Amino acid sequence: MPDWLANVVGPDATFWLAYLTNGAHQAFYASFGYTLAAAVFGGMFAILFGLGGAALRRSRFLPVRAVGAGYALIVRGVPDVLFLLFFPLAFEQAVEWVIAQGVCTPENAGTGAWPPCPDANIFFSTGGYLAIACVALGIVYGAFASSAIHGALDSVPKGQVDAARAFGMSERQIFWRIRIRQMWIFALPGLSNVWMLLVKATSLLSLLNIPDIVNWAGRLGAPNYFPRAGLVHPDWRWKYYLALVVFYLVLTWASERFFRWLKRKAGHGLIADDAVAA
Amino acid sequence: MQPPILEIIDLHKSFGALEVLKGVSFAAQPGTVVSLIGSSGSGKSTLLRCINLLEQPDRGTIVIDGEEILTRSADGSRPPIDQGKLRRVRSELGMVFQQFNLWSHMSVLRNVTEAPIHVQKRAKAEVHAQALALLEKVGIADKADAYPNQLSGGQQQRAAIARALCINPKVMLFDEPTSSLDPELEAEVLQVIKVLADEGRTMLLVTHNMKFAREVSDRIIFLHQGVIEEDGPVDEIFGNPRSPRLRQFLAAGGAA
Ligand SMILES: Nc1ncnc2c1ncn2[C@@H]1O[C@H](COP(=O)(O)OP(=O)(O)OP(=O)(O)O)[C@@H](O)[C@H]1O
Ligand SMILES: [Mg+2]
Repeated sequence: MPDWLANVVGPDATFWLAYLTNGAHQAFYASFGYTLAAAVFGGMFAILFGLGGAALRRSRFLPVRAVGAGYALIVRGVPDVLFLLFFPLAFEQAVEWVIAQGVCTPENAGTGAWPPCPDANIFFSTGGYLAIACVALGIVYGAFASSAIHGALDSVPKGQVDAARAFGMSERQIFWRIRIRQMWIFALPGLSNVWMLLVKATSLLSLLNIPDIVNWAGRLGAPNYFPRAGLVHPDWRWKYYLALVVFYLVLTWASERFFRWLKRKAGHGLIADDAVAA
Repeated sequence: MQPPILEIIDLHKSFGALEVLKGVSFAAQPGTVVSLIGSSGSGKSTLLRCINLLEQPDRGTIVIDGEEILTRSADGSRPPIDQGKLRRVRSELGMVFQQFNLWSHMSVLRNVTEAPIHVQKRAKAEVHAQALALLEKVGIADKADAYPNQLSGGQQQRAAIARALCINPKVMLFDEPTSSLDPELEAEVLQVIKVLADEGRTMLLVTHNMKFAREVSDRIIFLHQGVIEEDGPVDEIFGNPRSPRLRQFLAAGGAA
């Protein structure tokens, strides 16, 4: 901190500013990026899986419909904590199994039970785990989104579907050119609920050893008696967790605003955004 | 006499136990306007919807410009027609609905160009030029970029007529095109239909407006409880109705 600033704010504030901007705290602030990234990309995957799931549920073929319905039913019933623990591990071991089929021979077999040989052992970086977490969140909340979208696809007035048929559109064209385009405004209330649930679920990232905000808050708030490691303080976790509570409240508030704006826009906006290419 | 452009032979349609069409047959010559009249529930809409196969008829044949569309036979020995043929048939018939049924997420212009470009696969530039000319013709060229919910009912119906015209249909089908419009808006839509009639378009028109039917039609078909009760030239139907039911219907002003 420059001296002039230190002089302006006084010794106490200088001390706190220095403390709150030390290396560990900067890492803590950066970890908010993980949470936000997980929310945004998890949300995108949820929309994709939701659209896919809804499309499956509308298929002409019973087995395909059953897969779509099964996805919505089963995944919605599994606790997100459990799925977030299960999916990355299952994914990692599946990848290792596939690699092992290629590289492992009786000669280079490892001693442990898994993976079959050291060459097949893979490590995901934090970024890798984050990506897997986003997909996992997408799968879980995509199941909820698929229900919202599935219902909304039927909200297109029947007369407009009749008109599309009467003008020779195929069922596929009707789906992509009419239903999907009009679905958003009807699906929005459901999708905003799903988004709120997904935002809350981002607090589970630490389960996957991602150094996220929950993880850092726990570390920074833990009692510290070594002057060398910065400020000496007792158990301050509640202060850090309180900061997270405030963060999530702000995020919720911002999301509410965003969805209200989106709804107002989609009312005529779904329409206006789709302006004519003359 | 020319061969008919549209011929319906022995068309049957039931909804569950309710038999709505009980063997309807008629033919329309190219360039003529045929009006379908009849009391509510007599099966007029169902007939129109069967012609472009929005409803699958139970039995009967539809011939459009010499091409036979055999619908499913009573014993199920004939399979339903295939999707490709179905779409081709539909794009030869321009349908105008009572409730307009414009696609609400598209501008008026896109409503008009949608089927020609994406179903008939015609060149964009040509379709746009035609669409603009048609909007001009129905008097809403200035609304090309507006969305359906920004238009009055009369303007929406005129847009819907332009949409139907733009596929270059062999036959135009109108199902009570003005029944959900106020009188002053009805007039502007009827005006457009009148122009089309005078141009010699082949049209099949379901209407409760007897005055207009009389003015615009070459021929009138009176449908009663799923059968054609009377079918003849305008003057005969209105001037000298034979069936007592038609007389009763006309005496009531063509309502109910
Ligand atoms: N999809 C359907 N399912 C069951 N019944 C139907 C269906 N569509 C029409 N009907 C019935 O078929 C009969 C004829 O209906 P239709 O709509 O063809 O009459 P309409 O002559 O067009 O009457 P309106 O002048 O009131 O429009 C009515 O009794 C109606 O209830
Ligand atoms: Mg009707």
